[in-house]
Amino acid sequence: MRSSLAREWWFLRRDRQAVATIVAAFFLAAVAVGMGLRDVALQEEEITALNESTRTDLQVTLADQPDAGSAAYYAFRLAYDPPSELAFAAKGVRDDLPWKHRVRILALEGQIYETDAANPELGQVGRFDYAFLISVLAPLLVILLMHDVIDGERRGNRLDLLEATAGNAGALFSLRSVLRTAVLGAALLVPFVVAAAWSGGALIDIVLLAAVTLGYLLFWTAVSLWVARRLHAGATTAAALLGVWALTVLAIPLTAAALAERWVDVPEGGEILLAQRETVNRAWDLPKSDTMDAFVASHPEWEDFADIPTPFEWQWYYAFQQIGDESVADISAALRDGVRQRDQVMQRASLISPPLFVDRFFTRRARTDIRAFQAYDACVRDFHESLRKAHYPMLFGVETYDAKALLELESSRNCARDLS
Amino acid sequence: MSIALRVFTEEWRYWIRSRLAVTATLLLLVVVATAVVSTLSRIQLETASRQSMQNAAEEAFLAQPDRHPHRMVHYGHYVFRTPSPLAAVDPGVDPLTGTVMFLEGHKQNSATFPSAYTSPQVAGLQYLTPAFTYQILVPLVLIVVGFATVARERELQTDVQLAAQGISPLKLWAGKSLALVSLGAVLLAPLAVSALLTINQGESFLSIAAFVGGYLLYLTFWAFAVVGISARARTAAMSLLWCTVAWMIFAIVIPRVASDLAGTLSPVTGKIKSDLELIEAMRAVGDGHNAADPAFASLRAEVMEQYGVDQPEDLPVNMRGIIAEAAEASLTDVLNEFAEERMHEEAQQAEVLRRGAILSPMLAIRNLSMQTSGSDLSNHHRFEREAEKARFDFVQGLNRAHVTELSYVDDINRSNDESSSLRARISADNWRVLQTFDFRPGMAEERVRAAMPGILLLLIWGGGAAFFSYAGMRNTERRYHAQ
Repeated sequence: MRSSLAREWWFLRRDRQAVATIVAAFFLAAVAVGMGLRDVALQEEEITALNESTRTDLQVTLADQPDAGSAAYYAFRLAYDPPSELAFAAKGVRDDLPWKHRVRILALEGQIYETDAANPELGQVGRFDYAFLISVLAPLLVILLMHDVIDGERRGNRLDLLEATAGNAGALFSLRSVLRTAVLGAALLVPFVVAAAWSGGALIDIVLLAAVTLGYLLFWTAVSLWVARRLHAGATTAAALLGVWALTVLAIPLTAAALAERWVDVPEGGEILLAQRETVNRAWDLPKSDTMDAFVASHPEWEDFADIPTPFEWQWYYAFQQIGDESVADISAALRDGVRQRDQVMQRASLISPPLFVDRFFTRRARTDIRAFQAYDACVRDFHESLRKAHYPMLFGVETYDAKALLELESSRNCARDLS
Repeated sequence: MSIALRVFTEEWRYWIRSRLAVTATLLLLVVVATAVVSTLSRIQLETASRQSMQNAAEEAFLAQPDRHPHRMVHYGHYVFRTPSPLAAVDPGVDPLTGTVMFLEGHKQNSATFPSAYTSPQVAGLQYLTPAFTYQILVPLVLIVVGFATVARERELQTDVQLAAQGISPLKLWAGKSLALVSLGAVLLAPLAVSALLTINQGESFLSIAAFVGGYLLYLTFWAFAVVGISARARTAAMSLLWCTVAWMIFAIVIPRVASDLAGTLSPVTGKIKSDLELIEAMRAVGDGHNAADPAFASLRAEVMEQYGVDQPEDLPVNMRGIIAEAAEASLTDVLNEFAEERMHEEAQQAEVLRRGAILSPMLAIRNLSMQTSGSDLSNHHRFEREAEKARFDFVQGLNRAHVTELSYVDDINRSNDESSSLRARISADNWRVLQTFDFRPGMAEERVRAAMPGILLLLIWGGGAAFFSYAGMRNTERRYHAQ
């Protein structure tokens, strides 16, 4: 066994094409990981700066507000979802969907869809992160390494001889293939594992991701061998493998996505915005008691303070902001539900598309998938709610206005702490 | 020439008999048809729904009752970005950019609800659009059909026989290249037809011609590159491998690495960060809600002197309106300065990526395709600028009504009781200051001019590939002559 392994190792080292593929794999992995780390570092820098300027802005703003209403109107606070330790490896939806918000206690539905997204021209091409390298490109690298394992011998007219003398030619080819896959896996994994350890990823995550990566590479090795032993010409083998690749990387995920969009209807975002604005603005023309009755229905604790004698009172203003949110709560929840259901369709599709499965696995562990986004969305809503609750006593006059107390409220919320 | 034509016909005959070539082509056509139909219907649906929401938003604005004008400034307005006609073939950045923007006084909001907000998360290779199909998949099919063109003759040693019969390697090359280029042209037909159909939606022939022409050059590049690799590879299998490697590098790795590099080499200040910087800058401008703000002291004095009165109550115009108008104008200057700065940064970042076209023909066609179809970043920036103009116009229209239609005394007493609040309203006729928002992509000439570098680069790429494959065969021919 050891001598066969040594022999195969010697063969591998002399196979220039194989060595080139493996070196290229290492290089690509290092590039993907390096750029991912840099991107995460930029995000962290930005968060630090945002935290600081939010704090300063809050101090300056609260210093000269005459009452609790204006203080709440002008005071923006920050919610954000910092990149996880493994976010460098899988960007997921973080380039397209928001992970930071400035919020104040006006109607949240008018604020939460604001997106501070990355440049769409870059997103349009797609990013080159480690998860993409593994799920989409690594199969092609395996095919490059494997297609010739059998055919090379056949072309060298050694295949018949090998099959006659090696006792079990299948075992020989398996050994050769597994060795090649292992070396390819090592080339791909070393940059990732080093970076993951350096950035403090959990051991269990690193082990799981490495195991999934190796398993995925072995899957493609097995497919390659299976196809190679059945089809004779090397070119046909490679073309058939490309077909399998296109099926699992493109056809299944894209069909699933199209079906998910067809099966699961989501409300138009624009409609939420329009409906929410109507409710908020109509309040100005309605009797104040309409707004306050609706508000008290969901906030009975303020029943004794619901009488608004003058044309303008801040508590009334914030009450109709709250009613504005409540009026679109259903459609807004339907939107989130729809997104979740579409994601579940993709989850099921990933069971028959290994590349999709691997991509989802990476983005899940890196907390950069749709679920992580929805958890962040929930965290922003929760933060907003807690700010509202904290402001109401001053707005309703139960407590006297105290800018210092408002300054002591959370100026920014780190949503990762809630999620983990 | 007739020999080359003969080679050309024979190659086509060979493909038609080859299961691999026929299967690959048919599969591709299914994918193309799906992409064309689904993208077309998606974009048409989106266009219709955005247009109807745009109309709804305008009707809602005009239907507002008599009010204090400043209330309407904060009631605000929504504008929707309708895609260009050619976006049905190449949606470009459309799925990633917001489609609806809220316009209100004193604030520039970002466009929200890109379709990415609700689209399922697909592993890496995003949307199935005609553009994606032609940029990524059609080259792959040209590879699968064409990798063996020359290499199989060499592997079976039929090339020597052909040469002996007077079919020199160069004539062989001419015929085979012509065959694969023509296959590319045939595969282009569905794209060309769907692009031509957008004439009905008002697309100009010039941009369609540049669009389709660009794709023709791009596929020609791949046809020559495949024949060239085939001419140099030892075996058909090696040819297929090298073609796949070239495809991986040109169509996938370089564009994406360039995208990531652009992101880190030329970072853009995020919206929130720039908003915070803006607030800092704005503190100097003053709060237009507060007519007593010291930032407006000189304006107050100036206006009162102009009318020769001692207190704002005696003015024939509304001082609060004048201040709101002045504050909005100076604030907008600051807002625009920051917005232009951000757009400039974004454009520069996109430019870093676009320069990658020197290293990858896929980036060249991608740039050209989005530019000619009006679905690139600059088109989105046009939308942002037009939305800002619409915002400023209706806000200032309302502020003007505030100045002339509402008495200052009624205005400052508006919060005393219900009846004074009713007096501080102006007629809903004034809401007609709102103009219809009708966003259209840039002129076809502008778009095609922007795409010129892409056309030039594709010509160079195509010419380079033709030379690469020609040189491969010339070497073979020289070898024959040497023997």
